[in-house]
Amino acid sequence: MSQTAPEIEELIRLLGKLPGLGPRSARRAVLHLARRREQLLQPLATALAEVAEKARPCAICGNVDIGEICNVCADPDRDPSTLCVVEEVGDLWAMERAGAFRGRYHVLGGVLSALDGVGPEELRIPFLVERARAPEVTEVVLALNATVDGQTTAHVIAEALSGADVRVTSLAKGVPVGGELDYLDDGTISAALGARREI
Amino acid sequence: MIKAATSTGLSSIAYVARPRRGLRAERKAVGALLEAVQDEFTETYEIQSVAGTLHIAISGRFRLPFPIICAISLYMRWQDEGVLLSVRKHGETAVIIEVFTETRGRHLGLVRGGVSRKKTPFLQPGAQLALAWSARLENHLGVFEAEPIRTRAGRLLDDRAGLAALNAACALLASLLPEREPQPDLYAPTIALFDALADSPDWPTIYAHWELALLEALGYGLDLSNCAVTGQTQELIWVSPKTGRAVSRAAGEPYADRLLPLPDFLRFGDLAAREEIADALKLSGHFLRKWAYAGVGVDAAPPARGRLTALFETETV
Repeated sequence: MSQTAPEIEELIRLLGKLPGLGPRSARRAVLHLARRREQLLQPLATALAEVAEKARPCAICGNVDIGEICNVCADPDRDPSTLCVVEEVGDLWAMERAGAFRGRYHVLGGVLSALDGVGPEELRIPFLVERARAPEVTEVVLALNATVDGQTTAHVIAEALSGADVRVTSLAKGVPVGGELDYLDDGTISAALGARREI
Repeated sequence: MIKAATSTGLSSIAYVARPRRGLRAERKAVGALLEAVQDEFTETYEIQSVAGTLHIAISGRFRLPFPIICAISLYMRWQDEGVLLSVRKHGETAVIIEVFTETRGRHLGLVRGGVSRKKTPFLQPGAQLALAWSARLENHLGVFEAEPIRTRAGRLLDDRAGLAALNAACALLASLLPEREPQPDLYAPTIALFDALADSPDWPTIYAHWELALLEALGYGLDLSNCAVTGQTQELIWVSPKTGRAVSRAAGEPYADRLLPLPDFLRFGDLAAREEIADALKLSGHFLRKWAYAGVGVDAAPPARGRLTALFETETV
């Protein structure tokens, strides 16, 4: 029988549910936190409480941030003419890390999946069409994964946007930076060859 | 000591290794045992020595206590080729894949590390895979080791209609084929269809024929050889929505509004125009819904098929 206090056991159990952590690594994490009470445990608890109270999905794009409207949507310096459609919030954050896009986003919250019963309504596609019809929007970039489900969703969105007066584009597919042809699958090589351009 | 026994119709082997006998003798003894009882198994077995450990892979159900010097792993194992129908994430790093195999029909299994950068590119619907499946018992989900033979998704990602057809075919197979039941007559047409989707502009014609082959494989084949009313083989332009049999122009005229159009290319194997493909999809769609999906207690075909049909009904493909 465990000699650990039930409160600590509960913390271990909850941490163990996080991605990348199991019961053992959660136990180590809790031990680490307990040893660094001032430097880590209390600031973490405060940060968690604050995020739990204030974090929510942005009412416009679906990004997770503090407040009703996220920082990206509230930023007046962002280009309102370009909307970038991503699958998940993690993809939005990846795009922001790259720092190459200065427009606004729309998070779908998944991709079409017959297996999981995910249809266009579950993916906020009607709301995207509504946003794309705004007069200032001129381009919608479909930054969806280069998978069968991701591109099927992209085609469905492109069809849904056909009535809106916007240019619909998608990310290029091909050789990644640092990629070696020898290690690429034939589908990627085909796509890269198809999208070749003059140097 | 090795002894073999059967119980309740299932093969079982009790195996106890002798501590001092050594690997070679153990291997020989196990081989002799399996030789003696192989009539009870429907498939071959293989014995491999990997890094000093004896591995035996056989089909059947076995109960082996682990010996002292030789770690013996007995498990169900088979190798086959198959086309990937669907992928579902399982936990953080694994996926459960659904494949349509040549000799074992639709089969599910776990792929460890299936979300890795190395495996994701070929674990896409439509990919043809070399598969090795293993499990402790036959009715377990089991684990797949998968290697790509041919990936097709890369060529289709920018092709809206081709991708829609790939999704429709995968969704139909995944929702209609009984699990672990061989479909020898459907496998080759399915591979031909998937190859055509990636390579041939004539894939719509092949797809239309494939749906009829699917109905046939499920036991709901249409009879398009002669008229259900007169028996004549000429001018067959309709199909009865009730029986799935062809109806000639003369016999069907009074019921034209209730009969389904039968495009010529389905009988003569010609290339079809978009309108004819739409008619063919309407025809097979009717019987998929009426017979195949009703048979499994579902009201309608998957949305993926609906998206494909809509493309042929509304625009040039």
